[in-house]
Amino acid sequence: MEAKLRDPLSFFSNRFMSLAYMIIIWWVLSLFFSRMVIPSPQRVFLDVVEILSGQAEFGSSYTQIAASTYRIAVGFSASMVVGTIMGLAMGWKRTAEEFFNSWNWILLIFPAVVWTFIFVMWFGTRDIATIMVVFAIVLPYATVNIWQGTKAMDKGIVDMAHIYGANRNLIVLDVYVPHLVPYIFSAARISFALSIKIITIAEVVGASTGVGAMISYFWAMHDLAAVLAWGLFMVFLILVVDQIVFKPLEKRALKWRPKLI
Amino acid sequence: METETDLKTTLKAEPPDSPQIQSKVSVRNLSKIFEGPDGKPLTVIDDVSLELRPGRFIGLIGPSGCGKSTLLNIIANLETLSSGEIRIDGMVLKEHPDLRRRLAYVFQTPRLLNWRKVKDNIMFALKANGNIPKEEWDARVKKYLAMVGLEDFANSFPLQLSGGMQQRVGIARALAIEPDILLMDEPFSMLDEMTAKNLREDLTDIWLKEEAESGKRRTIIFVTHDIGEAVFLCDDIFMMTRRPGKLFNYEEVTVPRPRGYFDPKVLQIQSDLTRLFYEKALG
Repeated sequence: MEAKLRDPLSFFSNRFMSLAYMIIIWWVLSLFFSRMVIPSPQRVFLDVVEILSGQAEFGSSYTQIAASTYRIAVGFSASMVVGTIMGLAMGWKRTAEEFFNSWNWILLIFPAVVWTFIFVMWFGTRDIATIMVVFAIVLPYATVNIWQGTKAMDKGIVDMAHIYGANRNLIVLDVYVPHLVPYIFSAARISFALSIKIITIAEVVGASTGVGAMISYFWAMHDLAAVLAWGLFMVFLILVVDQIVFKPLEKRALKWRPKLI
Repeated sequence: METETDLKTTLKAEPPDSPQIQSKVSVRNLSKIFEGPDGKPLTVIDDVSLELRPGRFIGLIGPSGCGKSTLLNIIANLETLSSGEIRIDGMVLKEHPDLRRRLAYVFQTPRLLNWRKVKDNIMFALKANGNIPKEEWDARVKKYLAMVGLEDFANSFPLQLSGGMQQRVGIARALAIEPDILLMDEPFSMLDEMTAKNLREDLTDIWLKEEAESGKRRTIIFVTHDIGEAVFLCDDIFMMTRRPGKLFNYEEVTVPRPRGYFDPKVLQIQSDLTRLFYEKALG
């Protein structure tokens, strides 16, 4: 039987339809509740437009976005660097694996809110508090990904490299690093999305600027539409970064892999 | 067919070769003992001695688990031996790690770097070897890719190729370092029979063609469990028993090349060896 090729248009329209249904359900619900409980989609949409246009209660919304972006960037990058080093060590050395394993588990389970309170207690509302929250929460996820990636290395390939006489440098550069690239990307994408989720919580408690602080302010004002608008804006931010940064980079780095779909 | 007493003499007797000829591999009283799953020692290879003549296509056959691949891995220095020694040209392999640079290995699966283009996979072996002048790299990549019929796929990635083509890349990689001894561990067993047949014929052609070009025949040590394959390819066939692997027969195949799969002489040897194999190795 001839294989059925998936119609790209239907793929696109399926996604579009699912989004459309979501908005319709939201809209219908909003008709039955007050805007304090479920604000209408058009109201939230207007608020998103307002955010994008730069107007906000506290000067430009872009100042707030920039504050959050800076904290995300630093926390995310630091956790990726440290996570990669820890993951490599755990994948390569049994002692490191046994040593860090329990730390990693505790970090994975430790409640995000507790970290937030600890760092706010230590650093107040300075940037370092929220950066540390992002770092502490994202680090174990990055570590686990790289650790598992290192362990998944095909021993046969490493044996091959040894038989042909490859030295350590060549094995690291031509065997380990390219093997790890897909794992680094998957770690980066998860970590980035997680960073954005975490920063908003951290900023609600521990910052006077940033997207989280905005959300906290509008919540206090009982303006649920604005709270939702800022939340949706974060979704939008994740999508944009994923599409214009991670996807093209990943596609370039992994062009040796056959397409799955 | 040789009798039991004849066999012992054959196996023990030194082949009539001058020791000066390079790449003579001697395996002396080699044993390999692993720790078994129950913690008890498990003898995989039991006191095997082999004198392998240089420039020959040598087959090592035995049932699975008889330690034939382990023997190859010990020669390649991937695994250690428990007792005995291996010498190449009289030098003990353990004491001369540099001898490894004269060996190349073709594995059961291609073991390519999937993230590197075909040509860069071959380049990898040239780089790794450390004894091959940089100026020669490009020419060698070209030459050996052409030899295995893949000159048009230099810029492809391995996963874009079929299994047979990937195995050809593995062979080109091994040949490119121009090894004195080529170790092959069931390289065609994962392929379909048509592809395997083609590759066997091509391997013999390449081997003879290289001799015509360089005046030197590489020694090939070819591990297989397929008796037909061994008879088609090899000059010398050593047969091993089930674990613990011991040698029980040596056969010289003198049928001239090119050989046909259905050549009556080939089929006769194949059927004799098969009978012997079932009696001695599996019985």
